[in-house]
Amino acid sequence: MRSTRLRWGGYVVLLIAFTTGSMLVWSSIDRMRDEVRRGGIEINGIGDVFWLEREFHRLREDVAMFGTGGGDIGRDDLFLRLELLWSRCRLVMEAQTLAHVRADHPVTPLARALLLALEEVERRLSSLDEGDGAGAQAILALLDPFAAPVQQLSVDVEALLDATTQHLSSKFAGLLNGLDSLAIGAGMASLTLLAMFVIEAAVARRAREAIVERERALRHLAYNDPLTGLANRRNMVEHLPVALDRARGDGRGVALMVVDLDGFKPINDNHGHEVGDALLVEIARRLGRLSRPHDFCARMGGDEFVFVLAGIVGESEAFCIADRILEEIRQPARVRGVEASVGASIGLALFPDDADDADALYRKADMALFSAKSAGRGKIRRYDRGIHEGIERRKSIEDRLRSALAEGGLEMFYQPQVVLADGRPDAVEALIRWHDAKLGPVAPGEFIAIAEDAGLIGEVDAWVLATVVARAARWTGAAGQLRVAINLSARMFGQDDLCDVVLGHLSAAGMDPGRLELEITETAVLAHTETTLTQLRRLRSHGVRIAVDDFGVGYSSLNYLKRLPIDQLKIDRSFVADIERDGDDRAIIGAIRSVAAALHLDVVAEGIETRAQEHYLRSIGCERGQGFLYARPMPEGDLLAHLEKRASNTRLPAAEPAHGAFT
Amino acid sequence: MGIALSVLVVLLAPYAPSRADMLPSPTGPVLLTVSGAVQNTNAPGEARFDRAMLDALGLRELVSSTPHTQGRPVWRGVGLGALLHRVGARGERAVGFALDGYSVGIPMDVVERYDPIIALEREGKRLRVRDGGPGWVIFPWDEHPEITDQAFSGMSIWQLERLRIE
Repeated sequence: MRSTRLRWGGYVVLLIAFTTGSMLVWSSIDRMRDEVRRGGIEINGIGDVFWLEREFHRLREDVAMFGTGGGDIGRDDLFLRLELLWSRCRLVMEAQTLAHVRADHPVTPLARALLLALEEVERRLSSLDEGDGAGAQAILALLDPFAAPVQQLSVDVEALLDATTQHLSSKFAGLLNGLDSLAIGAGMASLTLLAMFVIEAAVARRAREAIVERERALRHLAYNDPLTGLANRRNMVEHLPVALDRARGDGRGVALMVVDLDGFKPINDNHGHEVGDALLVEIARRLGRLSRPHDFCARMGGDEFVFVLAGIVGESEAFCIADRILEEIRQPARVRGVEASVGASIGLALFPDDADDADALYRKADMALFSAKSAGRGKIRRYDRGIHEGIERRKSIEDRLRSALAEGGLEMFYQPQVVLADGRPDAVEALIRWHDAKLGPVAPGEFIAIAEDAGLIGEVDAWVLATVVARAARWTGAAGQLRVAINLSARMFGQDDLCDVVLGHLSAAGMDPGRLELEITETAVLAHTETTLTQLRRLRSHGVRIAVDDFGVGYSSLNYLKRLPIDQLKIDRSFVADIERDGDDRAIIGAIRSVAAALHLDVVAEGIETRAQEHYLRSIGCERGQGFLYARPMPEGDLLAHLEKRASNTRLPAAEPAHGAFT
Repeated sequence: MGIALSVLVVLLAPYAPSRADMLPSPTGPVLLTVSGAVQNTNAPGEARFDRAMLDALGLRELVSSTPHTQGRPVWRGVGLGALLHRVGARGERAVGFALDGYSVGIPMDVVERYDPIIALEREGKRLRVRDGGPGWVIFPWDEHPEITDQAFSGMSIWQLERLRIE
């Protein structure tokens, strides 16, 4: 902006300077031209003075000749000469062009005197005869006195002529110089204008280029992901219909893949966004390298990418490419000094088989991705009808779960754990139950997984913890002595305020921490962080017991278990179920028992349904158990009634197992 | 035959001198002779004019100052253009010759543009030779300030006695 004003200011100043200069030069030229013209007229006038001298001498010569009678001069010629000289005398007296001569020289008196003489000459000429030498001499004598003054006048005006000529020639030189200056000024002005045009054209051109460049940059910004440089969501949304139109035109297929990274969030959480971002850039680079010329790759945001593969022949080709994408992503990457490794899940939908328009195609690929994620990590799923239904159910479960959390649709059941030796219940496991008005009963395994994916698990955990602690704290009598085991999600165990939250609930409800047992799955323990261990240690120090749930299905090593701050192992129901048939399972249970004994851990067996199972477990020294053989999970009221009944009749036989009920 | 003659007459008409073009011969003293590229003559190769013939062309007055005179005299004379037209002048300039031997060329386009007169009288009095007569070419200086340069003062020939069309 500022430079534009400066530049134009410069042009204007230069042009004004040149124009003013030229005008000054022009006016001086005009003045000089005027002088030169006047000078020319003066020179002309001066010429008339010479004519006077010339006519004077010619009259004298002709008179003298006529006096000798020897020439061919007639009287008429003499009169003509007289007339001519007369007219010259009149002229030098009268002509404007001789005004300056008359001002400096005694022209007028001389001419007037000469005219007087000429009157006399005229009179005498009438009576002069040819060959009358005396008469002629008399006439010449009349003229003689004027010879010297006339000649002197000529000499004087000659000097004047010289001066005027000199003056004129200097004026001419000035005129020429002025013309030169004018030409130079005009040239400079033209050059300035030319330069102005050239510069302005260049500036305009640059400005245009800058605008084009800025537009390009803005467009790039609008259509590309700033982090990875890949196309962005908007770009994909605009590109996909175009790709489909083109494919419609040449009758070929298009595969749409939605790629979602597995295990990216922990990298972001543990190493920071810098590393996470660098990893995304690296993965985008690999995906870009995989793209063929007509393929389209976009980052949709977060850790989700999309591939639009044009000219796909069939499902197998799409799966082939998806495999290569997974393979590329799985390669470990070293970014910012961190060895980072992620996987990916891919949802796939094919045009035109799965959907006929861009929106539906994307939605279906997204559903397929959802399904792939649900099926575990690192999977590739193509959309099919089942996926659609599964996803619809997940969606409605998610929606209903939200309202259940908000409106109190969830409830807690409790299943007693007994001392195998005498069947006396000494603890209960709190189990979440949900019977939805529309969906009917929903298994915890199903809705907990959905709650985890939907980010609702924190609320579920909080609700379970608050509800169970508040209820159990109120129990009295035999129930008031029971330990209560709660299952919390792996996510909850990752929180660094777990201990404070739990103790807060306990103290608010006035419940003894020693009555609370938290169950953590083996896989959650395996994925532990220092935070988890710290929280578990703190909880134990306050008397809260920690149990490892579903023990035996993971891969815990003895050495590893030793380091964990835990109190009890729960033998997974799958081992218990096959005790009577499967020797291996028996061996595993025996081994677990030995390990627990070695580490001074309690053992409780889950899912005991028969006396034979109970018998075996007791035989290997398993002290406690839980299962339908003793009691099903039941609502709080039933539990309390059950306990009361049992207390009044300690010899009451245990209930028969109820088949098909919740476990 | 009659028709053919008529056609010939029609065709030749623009070239045939009309009656008005016939120059009479001077009866008084010859004041001005026009020679050179002229079509209408009354002597071998030239057209001679006496005062009556010049008067017959129509005199007009011109009031103007000149470089060679004082004041703004009333000039009266014959238009140079009218004179040249009368003699059927076909040239680029008229060269004037004066009694004192001076001569100067006057371009035809100058004649056309400024329409000078050959003055025969000044302030109602006939120009004698001593007054610049018999003819004095006068330009309308006062009407055309732009012609105040020496070329015009040079073309303002006095004591004009002869013109030659070139």
